[in-house]
Amino acid sequence: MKGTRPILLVEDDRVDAMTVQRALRKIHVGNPLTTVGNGEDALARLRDPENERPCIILLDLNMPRMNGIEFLAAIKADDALKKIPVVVLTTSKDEMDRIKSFDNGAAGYMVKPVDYVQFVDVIQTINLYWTLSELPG
Amino acid sequence: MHDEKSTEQRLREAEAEVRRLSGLLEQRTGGDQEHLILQLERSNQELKQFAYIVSHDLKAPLRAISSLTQWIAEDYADRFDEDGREQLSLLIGRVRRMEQLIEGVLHYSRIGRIREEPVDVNTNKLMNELIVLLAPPASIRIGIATHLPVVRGDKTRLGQVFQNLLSNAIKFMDKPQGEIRVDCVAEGGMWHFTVADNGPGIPEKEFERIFQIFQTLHARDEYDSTGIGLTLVKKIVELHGGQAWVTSTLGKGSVFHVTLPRTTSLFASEACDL
Repeated sequence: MKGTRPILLVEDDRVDAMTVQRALRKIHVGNPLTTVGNGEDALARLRDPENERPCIILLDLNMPRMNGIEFLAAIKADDALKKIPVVVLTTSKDEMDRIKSFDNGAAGYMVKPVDYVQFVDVIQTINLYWTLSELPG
Repeated sequence: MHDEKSTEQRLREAEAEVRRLSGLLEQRTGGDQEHLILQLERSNQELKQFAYIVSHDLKAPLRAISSLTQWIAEDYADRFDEDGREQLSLLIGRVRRMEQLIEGVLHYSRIGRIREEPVDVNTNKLMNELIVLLAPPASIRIGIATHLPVVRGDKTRLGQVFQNLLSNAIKFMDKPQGEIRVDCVAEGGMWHFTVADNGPGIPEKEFERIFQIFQTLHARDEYDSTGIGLTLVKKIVELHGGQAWVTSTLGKGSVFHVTLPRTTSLFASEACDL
């Protein structure tokens, strides 16, 4: 990813979080990874000035407490946070989930493949795009 | 407890319930009807919910199993002997199959829920497109009758019907010179399509069973097959108001039959570019 700022992963499944972490390590992404298990914890972390602002947020949709769509709506309504790109990373191919994600300002929507090797490809693609894309300062 | 029932059983029961309620609905009127509509809507909703649960809730742990297995294979490669490595690769293969089965259930449940506007489908053109797509090996010849008709229906779904029939004929071909033939005749109000092959044939006692979900004639390791293809064929054809069945002589080949309503008398060769 561009720069050295951290990547924030919002994901409740431990193995899925490990998968992202492992894939990032495999393709030598240097940005540190922070993982939180739901939307509420993610918002709290983002609003705490102690924490460095992430360069990108990878977001699962199906989570307890505050789910992915609710989190998207909340972050896009917050002037201080709305410029951070949020890429949805989910199992759902559901048309409604795609519509709701883009309605709420998602920067991308990736379906998690079952196969780990393909999963690495997905993470590689996200990384390439967000290394090339310019971000607001 | 519902948990002990198979996926197929549950799907069948849910569908039977919808059919039962639809039947009752036709017989009754008044306040009763309103109540039945409500029940019908609920059953429909449950069926939709079921597809979503299958897709999400079953796939999540499956993905975890897949990842963990791959990692064990990568991280501890030097600690496994040949038997261990083979078991791991079998495990990864089974995970893929499970995923295909889940996708199959989803395909099946999507048919009938999501409908496209019916259009005129030039089946001659459709067959030629499918042959290009399936790219049969040089040892298999596919002959197509010159006068295939124009039928009315959902183009994607009808494409799936003939794609499944042709790809089965190719996949199971056991003769050095494979012959597959697509024909169609008019019979009363229906078009009667046949896809005939000179492959291994099917025993008569299996004629019904092969159309049931997840039923295959071969061990799953022999052919990469989930047993969903012919189930889809039957369901799509029935939704179009037709029927699907098979006739076969063991050792000599099979003929798959599909009927579709004759809504137009046009043969594709007479039709303009559809």
